[in-house]
Amino acid sequence: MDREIDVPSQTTSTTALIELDGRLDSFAASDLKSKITECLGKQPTNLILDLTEVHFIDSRALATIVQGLHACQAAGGDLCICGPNEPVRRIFELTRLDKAIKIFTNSVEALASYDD
Amino acid sequence: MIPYSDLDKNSFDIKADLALAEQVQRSFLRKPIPAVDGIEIYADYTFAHQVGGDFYDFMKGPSNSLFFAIGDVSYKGMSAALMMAVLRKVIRTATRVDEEPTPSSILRYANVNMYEDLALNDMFATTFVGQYQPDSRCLTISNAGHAPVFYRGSDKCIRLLEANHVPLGVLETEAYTDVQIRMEKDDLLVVLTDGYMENQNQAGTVYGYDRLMHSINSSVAESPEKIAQIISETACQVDFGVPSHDDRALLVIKGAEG
Repeated sequence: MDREIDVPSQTTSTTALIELDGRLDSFAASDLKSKITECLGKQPTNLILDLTEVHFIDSRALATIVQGLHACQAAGGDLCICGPNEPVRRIFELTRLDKAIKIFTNSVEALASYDD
Repeated sequence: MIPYSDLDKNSFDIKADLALAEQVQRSFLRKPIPAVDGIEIYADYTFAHQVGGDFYDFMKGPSNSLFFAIGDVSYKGMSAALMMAVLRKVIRTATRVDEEPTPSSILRYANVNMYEDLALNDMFATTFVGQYQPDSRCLTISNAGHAPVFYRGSDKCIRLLEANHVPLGVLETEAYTDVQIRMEKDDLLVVLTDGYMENQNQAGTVYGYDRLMHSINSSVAESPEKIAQIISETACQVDFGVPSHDDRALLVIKGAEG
């Protein structure tokens, strides 16, 4: 990551949005894991990961996102991503992770999907 | 305070342990690769560390068929290697528990037996399983999230085959299915792990799918071993000289004279 991961910038009572940027790799994965844990500790059960500014993602980061999905599901919620560029979206599609993790064009659409 | 001499000894023990672990993992990568009528096969593994989470394997199946598997556990180093060793054994067992095992039945068995361990350790494993039947020249495949997989069939166009299932450890239950493709003379299947794509140059540009496809396209007339060599050399050429921190495994299967 080029900078620290943002704390949730938009939330509803049950949904938090985390904005990510730069390289989402093995080094960024532990930071992302901490943020997901922190968000889930503050009530929200749905998480939206905004990947609009992410230009690279590796398998370790994908595993962290899947771990976040499992944590959300255990809390009765869900995790989705929004705004991936074409190469990042392609990775989710080729690995069929898009079957388990919903992908939205932007954060507005993603937030609307969890409308309270 | 730990005496320096003890630290030195601990460091030596850890290095010796890692060397033994590497030896064990290399023994999993069976050579020679089994010979089967109608196809030529080459497989290779490059370690980024002494041990890693990629694997490939070959197993005899019923009616002279050959099973093969290639996969990648999502972490690196020792933790990934431990999980890989378990997964490899589960896949081997899966080829023996059914009378008529198929790639999809193997993946189903692997996910049922590995889901909890993978999820508990925040891991998943992409796994591609194939079964080649020499009599029919039919290749049956099932793919749990593994990418990239390139196939060049009778139309002579190389295409990326999407996985038909999520990686092992992502969903507790999954309805695995098989896909069948022909392997006529000169047809080509190349399955790699993501370490090949993640090589990057000084500017941070990753090697990527398109360059890989170009590299394969330029080498289709070669033998599987030569194709593998060209892929490895181009992925690590000067422009992309920053080596991946990830392991790299590769499997090349080419249709031959029946």
